[in-house]
Amino acid sequence: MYVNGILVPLFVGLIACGGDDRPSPGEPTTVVLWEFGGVPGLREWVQQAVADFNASRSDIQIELEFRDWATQRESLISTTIVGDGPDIVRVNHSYSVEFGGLGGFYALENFPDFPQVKERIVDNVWELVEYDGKHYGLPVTMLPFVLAVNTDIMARMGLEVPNTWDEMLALGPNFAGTGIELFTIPGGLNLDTAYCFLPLVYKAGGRVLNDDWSAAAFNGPAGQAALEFLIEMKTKGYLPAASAAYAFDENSAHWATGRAALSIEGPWWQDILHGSYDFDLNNLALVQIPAPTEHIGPHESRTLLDVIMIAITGYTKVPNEAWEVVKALNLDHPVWRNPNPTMGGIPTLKAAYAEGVQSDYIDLDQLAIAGANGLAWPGHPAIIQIQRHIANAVNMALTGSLSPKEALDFAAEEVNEVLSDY
Amino acid sequence: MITRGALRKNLTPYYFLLPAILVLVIIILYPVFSNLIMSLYKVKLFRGAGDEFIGLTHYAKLFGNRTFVNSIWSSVRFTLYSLPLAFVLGLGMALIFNEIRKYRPVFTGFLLIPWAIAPVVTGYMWRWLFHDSFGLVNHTLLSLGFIDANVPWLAQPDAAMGAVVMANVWRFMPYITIMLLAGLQGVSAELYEAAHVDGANVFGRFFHVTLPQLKHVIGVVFLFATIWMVNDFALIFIMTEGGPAKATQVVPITVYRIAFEHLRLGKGAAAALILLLFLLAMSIVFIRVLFREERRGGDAN
Repeated sequence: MYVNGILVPLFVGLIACGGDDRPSPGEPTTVVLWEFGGVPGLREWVQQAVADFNASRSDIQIELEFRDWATQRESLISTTIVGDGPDIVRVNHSYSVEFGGLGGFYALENFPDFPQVKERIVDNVWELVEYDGKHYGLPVTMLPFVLAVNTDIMARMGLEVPNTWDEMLALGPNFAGTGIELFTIPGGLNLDTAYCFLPLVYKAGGRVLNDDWSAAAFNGPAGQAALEFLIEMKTKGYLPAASAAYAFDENSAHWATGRAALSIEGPWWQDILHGSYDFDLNNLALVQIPAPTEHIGPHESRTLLDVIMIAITGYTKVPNEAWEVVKALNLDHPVWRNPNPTMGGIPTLKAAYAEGVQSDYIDLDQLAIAGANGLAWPGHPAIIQIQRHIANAVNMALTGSLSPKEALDFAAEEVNEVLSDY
Repeated sequence: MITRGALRKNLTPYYFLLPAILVLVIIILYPVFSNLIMSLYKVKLFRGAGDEFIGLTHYAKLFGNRTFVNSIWSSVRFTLYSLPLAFVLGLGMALIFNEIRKYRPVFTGFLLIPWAIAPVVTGYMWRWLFHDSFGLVNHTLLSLGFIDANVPWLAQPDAAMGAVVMANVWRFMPYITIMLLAGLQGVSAELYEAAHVDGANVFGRFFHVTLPQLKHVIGVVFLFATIWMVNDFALIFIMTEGGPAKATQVVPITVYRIAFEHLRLGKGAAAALILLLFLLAMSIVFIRVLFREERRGGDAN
């Protein structure tokens, strides 16, 4: 009796608290937006854009929450399992495959105006958010990998920017005894190493996995040639001796303080140089990543690309309102028609590259070319693990523990074991 | 026939033990048991997918995996290099501090700084100290003429192991010093006087009085320090992320990678359990050796 006296009111209370969370008539609909990661400039803009949106609309209100970039998958897993969470998420494009297939994301084909929206975005990024013929996110920014050149160093030495690996190697002897290295790359046991190695592999016509994602392909001829190229650079002293311990920060510091002329970077680089280092941006040029003199294949030469997408979750109760928010913030907002280096990536909107567009980006045309040629990492659920094994292989080869072929084959063996679990 | 009163009296101590046993079961035994069960399954994070029972497959795969076996060796090397070095330096410091009478609390307070700093901060500090271009280590060695070019400390497998060992010794030495200092202060002055009267010199007094009297403290220090060093994650992860060439990838880093980076929870649970069993076995050996004489004494009595 005593227990019932406690439990019954508690139960009634819980029922009263639960139920339909749709708004009552006359109340605005709340759309919850989770922004994973993002550079400071982007975060500031999102906060302002959300405040402006909320002030201008009485029917929809956005509830914004910033989340750690590294927790995307865990967050998506837990919210998909319970079928509850945010209505919109800003995440890496690769999750469209895993969570699109599991019903964690809402297919954009459900919205009647999707074909018109699709027309406004550059074509090559749509395949990155596609799974089983449906699109699970709006690709909003792209991050193509390019070669950052310190033009001051190159001009002082009277050197031309290299287009091929052979041209790059030929530049090396000019740096002997100068205290400056030709090239710097993060080569430690971290994911930055994989991010900077794969652009070379893609340029040479290699890929991470085979076509049906059943086996590793990065240890093919293109991957081996790319790693042999790096090892030759290291052996000849054109790479920092400590590059095998570098992560992004050390590599950035090395390049930004004038200790190396070339580095593999992306659209984020200009903002980092401006914000964290006293680097004269007049001395920065961005160009395409050099490719081997003779194409290796088996695939065509592409630029490694990362894409950020805005996705509507599969369990949202307000998909139409969420779609309105997505379009208002990420498609119709004028910020995307003026590529802005503080936003961390270049826009995917075609209008951003129309004639007459003003932008503070250095070499936006080069970034646009790289973006249009871009191909991303495969959206395999184990991609982080795969990237880790690739980084290990590069690190092993850079430290001389294994030859490039041995290191890549060893990593491929481990990746194949991972793939067999899926 | 046991009366109700006698039964109640017999059970009374267990009632008092019950809260402690409950806490032990809830916060230690249950997670360990749950971890053991998890290690026998291929855990799928999506509830609907259903976990697959695979028995000891994870264990077999781990012992056949070069990375995991190498990480065991890295843990052993890291501990074997760090512990004696930290102990010798800690003992030396404790002996010096034991002789200081004035301002001892001030000195011991300063001594505790490395131990009090968060391992992540220590890791970043040492990572940049050993940086090839900007690091103070290379700068100092270059200035003193010991080297003529920057040494890539964290990019060479052996040098990187040396660097993490040095950082670890720097962090652990204060703990060892404080523990041994407390032990030294418990050694009776009469023993030293008696040894002195018997003609023992300073080394004789150290080896025949100080060390035997510190035996138990040393045992506890070795036990705790070994457990902490084998479990060390943050310092090494921040300094080298387990590189270069996995030379500093100790078991906790491997467990972290498997379980939390790759989200293979079953395999991660198996790896963690292997680490736990290793530490448990080592602790039992330590404790048996440590209390061997007491047991012998007890048996004789």
